[in-house]
Amino acid sequence: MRAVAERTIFLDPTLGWILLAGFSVLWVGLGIYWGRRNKSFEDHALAGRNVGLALGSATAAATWITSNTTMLAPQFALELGVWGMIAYSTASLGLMLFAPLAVRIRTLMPHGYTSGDFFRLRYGRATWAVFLIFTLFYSLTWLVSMAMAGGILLEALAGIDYVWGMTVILGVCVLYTMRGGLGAVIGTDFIQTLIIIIGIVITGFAVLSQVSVGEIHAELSANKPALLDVLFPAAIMAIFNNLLFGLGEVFHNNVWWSRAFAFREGVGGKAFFIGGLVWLPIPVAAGFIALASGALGVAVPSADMVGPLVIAQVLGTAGAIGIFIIVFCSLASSIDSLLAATSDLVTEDIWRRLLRPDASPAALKSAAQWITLALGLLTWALCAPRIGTLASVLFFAGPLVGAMIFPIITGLYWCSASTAGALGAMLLGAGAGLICYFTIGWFVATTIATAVSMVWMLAACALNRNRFDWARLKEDS
Amino acid sequence: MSFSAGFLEFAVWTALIWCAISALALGAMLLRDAKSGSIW
Amino acid sequence: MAFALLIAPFPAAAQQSPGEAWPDAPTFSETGPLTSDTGQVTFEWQAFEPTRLTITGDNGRSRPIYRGKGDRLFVSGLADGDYRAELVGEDSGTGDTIMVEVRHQSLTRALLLTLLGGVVFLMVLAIILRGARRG
Repeated sequence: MRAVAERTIFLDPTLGWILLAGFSVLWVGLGIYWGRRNKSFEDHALAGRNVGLALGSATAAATWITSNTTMLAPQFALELGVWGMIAYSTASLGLMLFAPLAVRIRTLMPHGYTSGDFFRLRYGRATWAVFLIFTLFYSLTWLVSMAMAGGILLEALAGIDYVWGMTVILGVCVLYTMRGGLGAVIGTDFIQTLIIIIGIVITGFAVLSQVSVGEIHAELSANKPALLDVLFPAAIMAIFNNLLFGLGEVFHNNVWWSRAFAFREGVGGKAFFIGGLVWLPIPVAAGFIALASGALGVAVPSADMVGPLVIAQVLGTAGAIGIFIIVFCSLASSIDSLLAATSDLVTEDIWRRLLRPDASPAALKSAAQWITLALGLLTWALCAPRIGTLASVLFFAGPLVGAMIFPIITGLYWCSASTAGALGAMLLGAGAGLICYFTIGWFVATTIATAVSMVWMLAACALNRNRFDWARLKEDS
Repeated sequence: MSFSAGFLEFAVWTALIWCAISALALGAMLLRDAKSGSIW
Repeated sequence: MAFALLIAPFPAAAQQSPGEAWPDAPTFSETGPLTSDTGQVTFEWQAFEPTRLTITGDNGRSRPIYRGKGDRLFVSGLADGDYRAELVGEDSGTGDTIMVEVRHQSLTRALLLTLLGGVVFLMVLAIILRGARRG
């Protein structure tokens, strides 16, 4: 094998700024345009509860395609090999299995706004409080990790200063989410999905035009055999840990619940299932290029930059422009959704339910806009010092979200699911998972948390003599 | 035991073609929704 | 980062006296051995000249893995075993070596965890599918 030569990728900063400015104007313009339709909080937060199948499917896929997918998929492939790509693909099961849940949610809670509404009405205030702590921790760390990733990537790709890049991405998303609400988020998501998928396909074929899969396989067998190993311990442990992390993320978070409420009657189930199908091949299509790095002779100084390095090697400046656009779209499509869903959660669950129960629909819409701005500013303040360990805090969220899977699914389908069951499952599961995270490793945390919460929840259901009255979920808005 | 070249070939090509088809399908679905006036 | 640049030593070439040949040979940042339970390892080194990095496995087969002016390389997919990584300056011909020990995590534990994860997942699937059918 020839020794790999180093290669630096670099997009001219002026070009980087032009691209950044162009897309910023596009998203903000669309946000303002679509935002003009919104009159009430329901229009703003749930796009009038009338989103159709095409936009619904695309937004489900787009929100799930974060910078994590387009950037982390190659990293996962490079670190964990073939199993790593497959393990990552299993996250699409989160979307597919949420499809029946979305139908159930829409039936049980026709007037619901947030996942917090479900926890409050189904399990009472104590469980609701724990849910709010868990979900706000997860949402905020996800938001911070993405905004930081945005700044770091723009700096690495185009030499745009970290703070400026992060500020622009976050600022643009805050602006159009504030003005356009969920409608703008879903509309831009559609365009972003198409750009991302087409970008991934072009990149994939470009890589295959330079090196065949056979050559990639031969190079891996000779030099990186563990990546092809069917019994690669670290990789097989990642499969279910990753899958359960994904289920926990989708099942609990208001990003997905708000979409279940926003999609037109009869659309939710199909849209989430199609969204899952659209997402399924992306970790492999975006990830395999990392496996080609050896055969292409690309030196990788750190695993997280392997995607851009390979693309720049294969496609030159055009590739650098492409990856810049893909990254910007993936970041925006997730940051906007999280901003919208989290600010709606705070507006509905804290502002309206705890502080201003008699607020008018117009006042709630305005509150939601200011809360979006406040959330954006808080995220900015946390990202500005660029504390690297902050983004890694996201991994603590695995046990927290895993422990919420069983309280949610049993709470939606079984009338025997009780407050003691849900509260115990969430606290015990998250506690056990976090202990395992620190004593054994990240790869066991979510699995253990979900398993412990499952055992507690199922036992509590079996022992519970009371039956929940489903009509209590149909609280009028 | 290793993943074979054939398996890798299948996975990569399937994923890429699948992605291309899903982009086309999303576009077609949007056109269909637009025709029936039910985008949102 | 800017602070780190300020306290970094000046390039050796500036300090080199005429009679002395390459006093600062390329060196790895760590003395080693590097250990890994995932088959991944990151090499970091200091050098004031282009370098070549070669890795030799238990079987004695050595292969070049890097040539250039960088100071960092990520390598993954290494199978169980002991490896010797050799860093050589392209101009000076001098260099440094470091040992890498790769011992993958327990396969038994990994399979047990996978089994546990599988059972939990099947339970989730059963509850949702049964609920949806009755729905």
